[in-house]
Amino acid sequence: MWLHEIPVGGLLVSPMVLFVLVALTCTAASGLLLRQLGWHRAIWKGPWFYLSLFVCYLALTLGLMS
Amino acid sequence: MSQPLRILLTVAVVVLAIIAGNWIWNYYLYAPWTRDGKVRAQIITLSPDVSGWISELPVHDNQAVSSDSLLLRIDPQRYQAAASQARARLEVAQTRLAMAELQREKASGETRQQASLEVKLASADLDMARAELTTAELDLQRTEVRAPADGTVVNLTLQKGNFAERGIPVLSMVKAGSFYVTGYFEETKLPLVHIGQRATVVLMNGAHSLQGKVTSVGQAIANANTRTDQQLLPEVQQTFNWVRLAQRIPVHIELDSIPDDILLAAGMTATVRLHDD
Repeated sequence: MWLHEIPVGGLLVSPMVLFVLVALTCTAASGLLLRQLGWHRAIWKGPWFYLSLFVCYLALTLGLMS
Repeated sequence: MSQPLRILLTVAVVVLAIIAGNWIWNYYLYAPWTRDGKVRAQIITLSPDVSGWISELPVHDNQAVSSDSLLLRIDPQRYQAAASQARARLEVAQTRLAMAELQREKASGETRQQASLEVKLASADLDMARAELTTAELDLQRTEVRAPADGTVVNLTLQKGNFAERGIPVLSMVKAGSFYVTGYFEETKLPLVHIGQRATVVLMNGAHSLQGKVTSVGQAIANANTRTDQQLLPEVQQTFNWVRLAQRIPVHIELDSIPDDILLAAGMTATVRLHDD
């Protein structure tokens, strides 16, 4: 559905750019939520965890939007 | 939370990410879709079959024309004269034949054989005159250039009074309802393309998506390495050792139907996505 060029003010960007933005937003939101709930202490290596979470979100977005 | 459980949780997410990353890579790189699609149409280029001034040009640029309607007329005077001349020649030849036949009837003995030959010659002359008349009439008829199909005149730069040369294109038209889309797919994606596959075409303006199906896949593209120079030596291209660009192969897509509110023009850019069955 979304697997086509996305026009942004005359610039045509790859749909991947949109997916990455969505995944980044989700990752940031998850990070904030975990911190709010205090569950961030259950994470062993923060950067590794969040990077992986970002990739998972990206796959999810790609799967859902195309 | 205990340390092993913390480690396990993070490792599990990392492993999941590796699997997801691998899936993304495969999906994005090998899914049969391309941003490099073009709307195309069948273009008819018309050239007059006779040379002359253009005396009548009843069409204007981007005008829709129906099949067999007059597109342009070449000044017919010269061809009318030629037809009259051919008609007169035919009459002469007919008369000659009649005379020769008369002579043959009158002749006797040795001269009769000669008279028979004269009849043969006159008869051949008559055939020749008939053929000339046919050609002259055909030329006269061809001073009118008519639309071979329904369509729209495009990029008409021709003006009344221009001299049109025989066989040189002067006018082009887009055949009505002949729009189709060609997607240029990277060769790495070709194994996922097959004839009859459903396709979705999204135009660059993003407002419309059209449905269609794959009708054919191009069987050849030009190979730059086979081009030769003036000494007939092959111009072999140098390549980078590490980076190779995938060639793109044209895949033709027939559109199911074109909605009335959509304005298609050959040359538009489109994204083409093929579906799994």
